[in-house]
Amino acid sequence: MSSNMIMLKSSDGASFEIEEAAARKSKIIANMIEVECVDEDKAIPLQNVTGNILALVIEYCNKHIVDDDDDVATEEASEEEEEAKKKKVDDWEAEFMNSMSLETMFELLLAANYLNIKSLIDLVCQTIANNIKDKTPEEVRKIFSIENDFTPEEEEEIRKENAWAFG
Amino acid sequence: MAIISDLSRDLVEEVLARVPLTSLRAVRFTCKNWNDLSKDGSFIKKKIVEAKKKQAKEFEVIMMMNYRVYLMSVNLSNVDPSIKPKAKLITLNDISNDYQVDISTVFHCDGLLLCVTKDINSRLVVWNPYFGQTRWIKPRNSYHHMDKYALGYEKKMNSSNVSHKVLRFVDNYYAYSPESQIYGFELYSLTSNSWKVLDITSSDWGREIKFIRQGLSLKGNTWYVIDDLLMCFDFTMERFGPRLRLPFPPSRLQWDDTITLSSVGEEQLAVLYQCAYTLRTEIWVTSKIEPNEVSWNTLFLLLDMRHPTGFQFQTGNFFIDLKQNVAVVFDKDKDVSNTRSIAYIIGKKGYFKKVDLGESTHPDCYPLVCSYVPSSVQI
Repeated sequence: MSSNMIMLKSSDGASFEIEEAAARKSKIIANMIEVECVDEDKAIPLQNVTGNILALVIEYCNKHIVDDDDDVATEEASEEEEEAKKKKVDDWEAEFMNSMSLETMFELLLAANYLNIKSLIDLVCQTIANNIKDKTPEEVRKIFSIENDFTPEEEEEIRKENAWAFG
Repeated sequence: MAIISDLSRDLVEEVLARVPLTSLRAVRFTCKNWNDLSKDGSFIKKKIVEAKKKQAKEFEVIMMMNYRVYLMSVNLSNVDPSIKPKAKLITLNDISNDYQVDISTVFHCDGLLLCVTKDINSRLVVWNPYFGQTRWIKPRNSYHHMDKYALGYEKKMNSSNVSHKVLRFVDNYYAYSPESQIYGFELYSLTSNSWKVLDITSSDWGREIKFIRQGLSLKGNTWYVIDDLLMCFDFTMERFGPRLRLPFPPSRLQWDDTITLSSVGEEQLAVLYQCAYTLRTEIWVTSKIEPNEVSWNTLFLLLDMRHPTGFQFQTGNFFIDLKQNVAVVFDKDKDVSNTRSIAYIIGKKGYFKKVDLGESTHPDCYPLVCSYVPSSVQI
């Protein structure tokens, strides 16, 4: 596959070179390419994304463009092969998210949302959600630095409203 | 540095929609913002989309075992099938009710569960687990221990809105005096929050109303097997439809045979028949079903159960999976102890597996399963 390279520029002035096919993971950039407002010599400015976050986005896109190519090549792959490949992607994604701080995840989510990369939004949201699973409200508040803004009466009201729940 | 409040409401919804159902209560207790958001219809819809995505291989059913309600995750792959509890109904004690509620029956319709409590006077509650909403239904005077209930809905003309209703078959057979041994039907509307007595008599049935089994809801109406026939309570017309035929000749049915209903997806009905004498077991699925018309597909499953199990199913409570071509029947182990809840998976060409669901602590309590489809219906 021949690959055009395009340039992306972060809000803090860092420039990144990326394969067009990888950049197309972002619906916003794909649109820009479609309507030909991408000048080959000029970097696309991304005002809402800092360099360190953009580097993560590009790492993600590069990884997933390879996977998409695989899909085309092995269209008739067996179920086991499909599963093995999916596991490989899952493992990579788990590793990718593993060392990330919550703050970075929020920034990455904002960037993925701004650039409109659906699968990355899914991945980051799921990882943040995993931080809430099986936690008490106190623990959740602590993790996310959220203040308890309920009065005791309101808390009692919520207890009543949620008296029946799967736990 | 970004914090969670930098995220738009939409993104917070996307995050919280991926939190498992078992953490919904914790989410609501966290802060006002999350509590409000988690009660929003758009949030519940996102949550259902996420739940369905994760169900590619597995699906969920609701079960009652040992008078407790579970959300079960079902994987019927041929090699290693599993049916495992994913979550358990946990009721918060309040001052007036300082105990965990025992549930004797669960009934599913349209994402809502109708639960009947086991206490002597029975209490009735409609619950949407995805919304975390409950509605307690007070009786006109009192419920009876033998009453049967069904949940359905009325379809409004020219509107996609529906109005949910509860049908009560009043059964006071065990009353002390013969005069109080009454049978009858009452209908409760969740919209108007009131009961009314229905004018349904024995002549509508063509025989005496004395014994009615648990019904099954499909597309808003509830189906019953009455003797050797199939009948539907139409929640829109508020009456029973005509008597329809089952897929086998009525002459074959004996009073002690097992015959039960189950739903297949949201459009089809399945019936399980087991002959008490030969243990011949048949499962049929409808090709078309309306209150006044039913047609049956060819036989889904035919088995001689003398060998794999060698006993007649006690309740015959079951569901089928068209993808894997199997049926799962719930009962207990039938050795001397009779103390395990068991799912018997039966299929074509003699396929047979048992899944142990754990100890059955009450001799009279048999596992009860109902299909479950998450919904954003508000009650």
